[in-house]
Amino acid sequence: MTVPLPSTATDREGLAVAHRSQFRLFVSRFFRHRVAMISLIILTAIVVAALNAESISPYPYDGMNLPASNLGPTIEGGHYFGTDKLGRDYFTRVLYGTRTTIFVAMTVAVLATLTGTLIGAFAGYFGGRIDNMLMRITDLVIILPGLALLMILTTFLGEGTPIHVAVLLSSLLWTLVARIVRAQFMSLKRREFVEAAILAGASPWRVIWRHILPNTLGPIIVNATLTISTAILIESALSFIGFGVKPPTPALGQLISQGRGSMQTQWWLVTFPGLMIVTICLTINFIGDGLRDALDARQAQRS
Amino acid sequence: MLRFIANRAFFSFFVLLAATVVIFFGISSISDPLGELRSEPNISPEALQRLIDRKHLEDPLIVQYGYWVKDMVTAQFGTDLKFDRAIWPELSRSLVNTVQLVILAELFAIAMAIIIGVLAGRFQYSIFDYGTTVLSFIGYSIPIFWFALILQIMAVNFYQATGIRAVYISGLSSVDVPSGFMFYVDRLQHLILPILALSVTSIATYSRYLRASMLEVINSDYVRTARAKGLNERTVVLRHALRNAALPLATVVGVNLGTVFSGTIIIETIFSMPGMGLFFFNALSTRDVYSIMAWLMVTATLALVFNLITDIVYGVLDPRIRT
Repeated sequence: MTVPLPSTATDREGLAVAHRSQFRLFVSRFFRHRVAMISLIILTAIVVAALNAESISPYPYDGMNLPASNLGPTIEGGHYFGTDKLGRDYFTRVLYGTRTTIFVAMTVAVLATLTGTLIGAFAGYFGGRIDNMLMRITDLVIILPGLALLMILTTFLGEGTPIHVAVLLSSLLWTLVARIVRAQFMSLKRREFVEAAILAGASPWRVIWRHILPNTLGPIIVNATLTISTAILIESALSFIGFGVKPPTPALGQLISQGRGSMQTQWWLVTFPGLMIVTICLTINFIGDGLRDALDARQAQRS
Repeated sequence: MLRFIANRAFFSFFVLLAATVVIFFGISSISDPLGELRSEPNISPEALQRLIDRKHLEDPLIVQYGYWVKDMVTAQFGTDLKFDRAIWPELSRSLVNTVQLVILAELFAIAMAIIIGVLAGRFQYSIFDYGTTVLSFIGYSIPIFWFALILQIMAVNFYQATGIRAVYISGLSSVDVPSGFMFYVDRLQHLILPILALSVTSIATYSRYLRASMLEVINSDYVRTARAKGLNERTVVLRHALRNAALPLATVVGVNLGTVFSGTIIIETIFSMPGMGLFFFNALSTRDVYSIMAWLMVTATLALVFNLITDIVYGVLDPRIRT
């Protein structure tokens, strides 16, 4: 041994890194993603404003004031987004519409993710005939013309309440997460730590819940985030053509639809709700991108 | 290759058969064809009875299904419920218009995506790359119906400002349809805004995808070999890299077509274009289940045909799977 080995003392010093959990690593990586951070701040501000619309705006969302109808947007006049033809403050209406739209989208994300995870986990873990049957159902739902189906369902079954729209949307949007979870489960169930757990006598439920599922959380979270933006776009489109959330509950797509008739003269009626949708979806997509990098969830690619 | 197509076509027949069952019993289970008409005071009981007799609505569902399939095969989907008008003439006209719109929009999207994807992939981390990345994120986030409305506002403002009628914001042709070459110019003036609105999402999706696969390909051995042989950059990128990078795009386009067709429902409604989307919208508004079912069957057939075409295109582009 002519080459001197580094002394163990300095080696230890070099390795003396404070213990950091997976979660801490994830948080630090996410915060380094500047665009995602800014997006998170903007989105939080929008959500907080929408949830506290009553205290932010002095006007009720359906308060008519005919003398003040069709006012353009001004800062000093108190109507930041102008007023509509009944003199209702448009800023207030957009805030309430945002609240409905976000409520629908969040509900869809939760329901669709739960359903998809459950189906994907079952298909991936048990394989064989169960997998085959569940995946054929998934394929069928993917092939269905989504928007047309939603329009048919809301025509014949729908009541146009936000929760109703959310349930209908999530009955179609669970397929992507189901496929992702299934693929993860199929590869993870062959890994040593899962085999060890099975050999140690863990029940299938415990193996799924405690050993495999935590390792698939990254892709699931990324996908759930992106589902929110997909749901917002679909719900707005539905509400716009009159097959989604129905008045008097305001939703962003529905506001655009109402403002459409006079959009050449009162441009603000169409512009502001649309800008709100773009802002929300854009921030969510950036956040999803940041999460994907931070969680290294390559599987959750955009479909 | 021929055998492969024959196989797929044979299989597609059974898929369509399954689709008739799903569509008929699905629609029947959630809707009553006469629901609206029963509550209308203008329709006499005799007229209602005539409708019931004509569509065999008092027979068991399975018999009604038989009549429906028979109508579909022998009488081109038969007639609608209320007015006994033939469905197929209007539906086929709509089909042509929509296919025209979708093909033009997708060709435009693919062309744009190739330009953006190739340049962004070739000059990674350039300003162009960052710019198009941000643009594609906006493309994902923009509701197409809103984008369509903004385009309409802009078109009208442009007309009012300059007096030049560059594009039309509704319909498919002018009232006084010109003939010859001007017919196509007129048609294009009507189609430009719908095409733009419909292709935003596709451009974003395809260009992102193409950029990623360009990056993969451009660092591969055979591209390095091509460069080492002294080929000029243009040949390397367009002939060696792009051809292989564009291959997976065929699948993406095929998968995305469903979304584009959903988009036509909204776009055609906004631009009053007499296509499949507007047909469906009107059928739903009048709750005419026979038109709705016919529309669903045509859509299912379209989906299968496009799927088949995608597979064939893939076979042409990738000799490995042609066996």
